[in-house]
Amino acid sequence: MLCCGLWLWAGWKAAGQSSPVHFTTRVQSHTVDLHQPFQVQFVLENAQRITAFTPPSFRGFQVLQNFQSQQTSIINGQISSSYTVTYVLQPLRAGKFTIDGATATVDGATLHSNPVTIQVMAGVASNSNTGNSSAASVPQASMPAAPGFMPPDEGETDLDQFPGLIRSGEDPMEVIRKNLFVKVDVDKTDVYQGEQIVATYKLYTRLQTTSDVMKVPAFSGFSTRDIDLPNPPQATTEIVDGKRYKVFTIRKTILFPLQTGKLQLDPVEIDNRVRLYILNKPSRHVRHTDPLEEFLKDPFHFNPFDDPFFDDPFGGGSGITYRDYDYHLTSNPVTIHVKPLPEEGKPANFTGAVGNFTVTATVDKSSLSTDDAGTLKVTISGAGNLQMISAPTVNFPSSFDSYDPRIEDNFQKNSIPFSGSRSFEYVFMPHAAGDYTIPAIRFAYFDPQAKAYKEVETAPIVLHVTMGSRASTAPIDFSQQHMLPDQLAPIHLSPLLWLHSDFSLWQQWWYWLLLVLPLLGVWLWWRQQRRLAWLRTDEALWKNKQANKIARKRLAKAGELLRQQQEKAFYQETSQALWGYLSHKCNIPFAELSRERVRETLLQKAIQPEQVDALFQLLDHCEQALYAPTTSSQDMAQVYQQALQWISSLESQLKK
Amino acid sequence: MVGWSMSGYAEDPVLTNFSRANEYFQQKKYDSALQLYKACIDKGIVSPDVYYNAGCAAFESRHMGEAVYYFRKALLLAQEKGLPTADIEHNLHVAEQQVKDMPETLPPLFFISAWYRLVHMFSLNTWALLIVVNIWIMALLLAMRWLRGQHQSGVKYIFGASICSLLLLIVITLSAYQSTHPHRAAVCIAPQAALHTAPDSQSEVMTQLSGGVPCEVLDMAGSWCKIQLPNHISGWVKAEAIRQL
Repeated sequence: MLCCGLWLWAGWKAAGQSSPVHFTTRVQSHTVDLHQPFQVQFVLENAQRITAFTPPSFRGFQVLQNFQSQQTSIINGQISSSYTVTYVLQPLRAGKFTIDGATATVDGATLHSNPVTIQVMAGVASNSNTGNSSAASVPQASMPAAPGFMPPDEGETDLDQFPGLIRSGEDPMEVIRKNLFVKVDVDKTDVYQGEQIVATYKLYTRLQTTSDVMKVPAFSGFSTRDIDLPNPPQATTEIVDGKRYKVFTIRKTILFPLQTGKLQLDPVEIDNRVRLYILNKPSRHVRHTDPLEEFLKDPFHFNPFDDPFFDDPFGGGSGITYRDYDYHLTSNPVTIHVKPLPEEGKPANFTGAVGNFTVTATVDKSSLSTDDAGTLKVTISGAGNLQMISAPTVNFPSSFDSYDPRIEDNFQKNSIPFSGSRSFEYVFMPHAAGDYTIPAIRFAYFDPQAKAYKEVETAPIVLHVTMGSRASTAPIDFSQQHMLPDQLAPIHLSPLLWLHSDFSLWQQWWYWLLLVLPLLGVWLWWRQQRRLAWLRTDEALWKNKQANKIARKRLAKAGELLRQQQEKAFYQETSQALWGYLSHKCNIPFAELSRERVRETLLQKAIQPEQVDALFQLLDHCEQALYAPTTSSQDMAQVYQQALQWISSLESQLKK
Repeated sequence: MVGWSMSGYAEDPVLTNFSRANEYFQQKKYDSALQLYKACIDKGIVSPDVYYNAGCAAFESRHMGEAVYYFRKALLLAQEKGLPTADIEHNLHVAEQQVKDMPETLPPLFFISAWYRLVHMFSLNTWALLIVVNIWIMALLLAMRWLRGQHQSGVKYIFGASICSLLLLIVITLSAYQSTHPHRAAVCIAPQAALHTAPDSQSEVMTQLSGGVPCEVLDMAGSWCKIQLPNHISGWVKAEAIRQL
């Protein structure tokens, strides 16, 4: 808890628009781990003249580091700047703490930043630091953010210990180039085809680096097996050219060349972000103490603001700041010379195995019947290109049925050299009883150490086959050429049917006639029925139409008589019209017309009784009017209308 | 009926030839037997038995291509006539085992083989007859319906069933016809035949066919035939090397 005053003059003459001043305290998370240091930042935005800065008391915490940084940006003509003072704090005990805001004097005004509450959890101490690890499917080496501080070694000067600290005047890129590189290690570059090579890609660094592998090497022309690496990557130390480096293994692969000639291992590309600490040039004033010495004395508690030199308002900036640089690394490609396997001494059954192997063969049962299927398991174990071994030929006895083998692999993960075993399972079925021997199975391979072909073989296997219950249905071995195959079914001696002719029913004309005849008949019948039905409906329709027409005609006459006001004639005519209509509609001949018959017929036709009554009322009315004239033209008109209405309503009812 | 003639046993010269050929076969004089069987076939016999016996004789005299041809032909005829085919299928299988480079065919799916068993249960003529009978029944049902009245639901169902059975019969008949009359199938009968790229003996030979390999005839030009093998390779062979089924 070092309180001090700071004089800083961040002035510039740019006549841009000024933005409002903000002073905020920022933390990444309000919950921290007891064993984990964290950062608190006090950010002053758009402050033109900062004359004083007082941090709060960090009760409950220990200040490990502090530094400051500035940032200016011009967006759309708007200048904005921020000045950040960062404190790295280590919690001392668990609990809930409040960190008060800092105080700063800007342009004569005093500003306070916001307080923050920090909850310190007494959790499990984790190893991860503030270094960032980006989630990528590519195995990447994101190094923990180590301070750019290396333990001193003998023979190293003070400054050699701190490659991450550069003075003004030094080129940062040059520094990075000298202290960061990637190397490819290959255990041999001159091999036979199929002989294994181990390739290791390693990143050497003396700086605080965060790396991401951008391009993974694709090994074309090789069969590869990757070795698993710990994730996150663990670092080892190596001394190269008298300098101590931190080494991260990025990729480790076992390669088997598949073709001869000059093959290349592709380079790997890594993007790095390097943090360099910059020592600023001291100003014209003589310093009391060298900040570097202060730094060396106590790197964790060094506070560049401790120097009373800083009390001087015109002191100018001094101290240690950091900057991040992006650096792209590419490894050198490696050429491998692959020799073809020698031709002389190559056995006939050699199929490309390179390494050192043994072979064993077992059967699941040595005594079986012709109903059973047996399994022969041939296992090749050792070190070499196991995944490229193909099934050895097994000479089963000729009366055995055998099938293509099933492959089962048992490779040791991450073993160098690549070793394990590959098994081939052959299923076989005997067809004849007896004692058989599966001869020794030979396997040839090339030993690259001895530079010679070697052959191994299994012991022969004796099988005892008994006759099974099911008769063999498989084809008999025809290797003996002129043996009569007596499972050919015997010839037919019986009398032959259809001796001469090839009689096909569908080729006879009468067949098709028989086929079509009923269809034709059905069709004709159907047409006739339709026509009859149509005629019947049409007749009824016609009759109806006629009825209507006639009724209208009759009533038309009545209508004219109405106009002429000829009462008697009108009523007579109306009555006649109605009766004539009824005669037609009900299909009753005129002579047989009677009220009862009409009523009966209409009711039969599902006409409402009310309608029938209305009809008779109308007819009564007409008759009355004939014999007892009431003389009213309105009456006549009414009757006329009623008659018309009745006829049309009947029509619509009957049409339904 | 027109076209059928079942000849009497002892009178037909062809039948005597056939019996004599059978005797030769049993005396193991396979070549002579084969000659006589071929003579019967040339006389126009289309009985599956003659072809079957000819196939056996050809097999015994190691003419595998011809054996496969005769057995296949016998199978088609027997299927068409609804006769049992167990013997013929068995012998065909035995003969095909002997063919070198015989293309492997997957066994048909169970419902496909069941379908063909149904289809070949009766002869093609029988199926055709059944179709006619079905149509007559349908006509009678319709007549019954119109004479008796409109609303007889029982008749409706029977009529519906008869329509279904008619469709089924038609499908079966077509399937039977199609399976027994392959219009382009052929068998290589020569022991060895060269498949050329063009109908010219000087042109490049693609592959050698063994006797008994099935193929499909695509085209004919002069004394050459263009065929397609089961593995879809096509080329030209001499016409006498193959025979159509």
